Amino acid sequence: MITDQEVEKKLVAFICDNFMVEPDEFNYEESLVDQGVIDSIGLVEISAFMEQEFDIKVAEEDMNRKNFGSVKKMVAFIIRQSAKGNLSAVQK
Amino acid sequence: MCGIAGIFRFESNTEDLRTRVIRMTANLAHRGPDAWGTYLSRDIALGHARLSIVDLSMGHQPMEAEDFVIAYNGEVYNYIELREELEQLGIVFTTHSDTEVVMKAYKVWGKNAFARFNGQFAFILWDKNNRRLIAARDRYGVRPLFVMKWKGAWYFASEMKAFDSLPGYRREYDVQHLFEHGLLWNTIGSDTVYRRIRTVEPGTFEIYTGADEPLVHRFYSLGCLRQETLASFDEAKEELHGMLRDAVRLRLRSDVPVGMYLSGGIDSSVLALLTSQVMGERFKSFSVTFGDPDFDESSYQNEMVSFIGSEHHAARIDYDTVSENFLEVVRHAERPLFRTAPVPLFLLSKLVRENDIKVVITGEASDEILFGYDSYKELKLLQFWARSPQSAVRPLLIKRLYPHLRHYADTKAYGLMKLYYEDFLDTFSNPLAGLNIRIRNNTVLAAALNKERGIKFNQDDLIDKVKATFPDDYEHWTLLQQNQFLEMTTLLDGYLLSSQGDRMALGHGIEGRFPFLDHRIVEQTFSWPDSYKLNGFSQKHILRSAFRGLIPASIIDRPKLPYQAPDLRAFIRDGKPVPLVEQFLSPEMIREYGVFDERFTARFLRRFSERSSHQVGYRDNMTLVFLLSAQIALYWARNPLQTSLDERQRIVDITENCAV
Repeated sequence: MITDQEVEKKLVAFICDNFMVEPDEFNYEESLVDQGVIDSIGLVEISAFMEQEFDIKVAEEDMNRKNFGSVKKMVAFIIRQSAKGNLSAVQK
Repeated sequence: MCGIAGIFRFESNTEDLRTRVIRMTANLAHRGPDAWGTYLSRDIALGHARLSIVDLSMGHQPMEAEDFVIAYNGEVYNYIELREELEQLGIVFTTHSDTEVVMKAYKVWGKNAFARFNGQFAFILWDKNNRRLIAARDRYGVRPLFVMKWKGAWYFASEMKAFDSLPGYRREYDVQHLFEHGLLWNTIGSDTVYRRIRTVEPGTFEIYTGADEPLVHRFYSLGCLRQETLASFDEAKEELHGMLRDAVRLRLRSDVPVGMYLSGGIDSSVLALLTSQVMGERFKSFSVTFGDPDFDESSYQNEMVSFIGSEHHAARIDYDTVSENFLEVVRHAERPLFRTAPVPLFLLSKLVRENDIKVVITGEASDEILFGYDSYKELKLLQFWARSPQSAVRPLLIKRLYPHLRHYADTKAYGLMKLYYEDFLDTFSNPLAGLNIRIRNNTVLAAALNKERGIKFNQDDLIDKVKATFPDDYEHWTLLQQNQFLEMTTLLDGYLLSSQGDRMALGHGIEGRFPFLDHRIVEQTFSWPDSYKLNGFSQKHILRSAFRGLIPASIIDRPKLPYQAPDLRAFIRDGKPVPLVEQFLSPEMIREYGVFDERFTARFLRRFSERSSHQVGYRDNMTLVFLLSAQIALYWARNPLQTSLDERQRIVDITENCAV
């Protein structure tokens, strides 16, 4: 099972590389849009990265502040979705 | 159209003063290639490079009349009516130019003269008796005028490159202003991106009497002529049609033929129709076409050309044209750009020149005054949604915001777009209105700037600074009216009329004329209810209604496509930066100029080399164009070109009261 720390590390690395910020230049508990780190396409890119990197599905109903409102919330969302994926794999 | 230069309070010998004003004027020669002249008196000098349009034989400048001398750039279209009024007061005229009318109107009416002018102008007027200098600029900033205090003297010029000719002076960025320019697409108030250099603000005149700071008077601000209107929509439609026709009629006053820019959109099509009706003869029209179908509008242009029967010429633009001309375009623009769209207009003015036309009618400002921009739609949507934030239905309108952008139309991405806009629900109604979204998107530039320059972004400070520019009754306006003020003072003034307008047209000695910026139209449309302009999501609703049936329906009903040119696609080819980008964004040059962060720039470029199919959004395009143009603008500031003037074209040479 992937850990919170590993997910956060990968996600932050993606954000830094793609949105040209340093890891200490933005707050992990605030909205990336509010902080000016990403624009609307940035959300699309992050969502695509999540699906590809962590092999999860992001459905329209998941696209809300609870899941995307900060780096921490995104990490928690990825972990939750991964767990669901693993569970369904076991059930199959 | 012309270039003007001035020096005041320069305490040295006459020859030095003469050399300086000639060198300054020489750097403006592209604005007025037909003739030049100078005026010198004790510690004052004026220079003028002329593009001859009205009274070709007599309207030479600097022009002297009794106690006044003027270096004037622009057109006051109602000069015939003003002249008649002045003649009735016993004023005698020796030329048929608007320049003389402006000078004598000031002599008779003083500061009340400005409100009578209908047009686009910037001038420097020397009042000999009172030994004071007046620097003035039109209501919306169509014509430029910059001021610099340098070693105790005041310098004035249409373009900042004139200052580069001064011995020992070098233009340097004010990095905080550069950042604000990046966030808003214009600097605030009279700031420019350069240290020491100010701009005379649109709608103001400044009086200089000595070494002290000038007295600044405002003669116009948006909404100052607003009257509560009871006009029904149908009456307003008629009124708009009539006002536009009259604005076109006045703007066809010229002693040389007038042509027009035809974009394929509704604004220029309406003006083409009116021009054709008022002029009553065939005229030349000009368009930009693109090799890349994503940007090309030639089918609409051709439709309008057939409709009005103009003699049409088109400048075809491809990726290479953009990258090959960018260096020269930034030299003329003198400040960072956000899009490459000025490049096609620079090449279009060249084509116009080659076809023996000096004056063109063009459709700018319709989007500002009739709510054609998407920022108006975004605000309306946020206002509607904020009244019921939990509604699942209200945010669905997001899908209709930018139908031409893939990620808005994509149903899968709808949730993300909703999430994005949700973040603005709390802030959209603060004084920055539609600028909130632009600023948020452009904040990326904070990370792009060299960290050692200590630039910090504080939204509250920015709001305070912008608020200081608001007209008195701003808070009583609707949100969309407030947004109009902000669009007109940022995007219109700082980019569309300047970097993309005046500088690109005058780069080839072409004068643009803007009927939608006739102040009577701006004020009247401002008075109308918002719904006349933005009806539902129907933008420029009243213009569409007023001209339905008069121009082809396909143009009236076509989806709005912002005028744009290839940005990133012109500079990153097959994942590889073109040589211009490699040179100006190289680690060495980034380090040498010290404006941007090396690591940021390297990462940014790598982003496109690693993923050739990368979906490029607004921000990537803007960031690349900003970084590259800011580097190039600084290159020109450090390596300025000095032009020289042809002595045979000198038509005015006045020297008086000088100790030789």
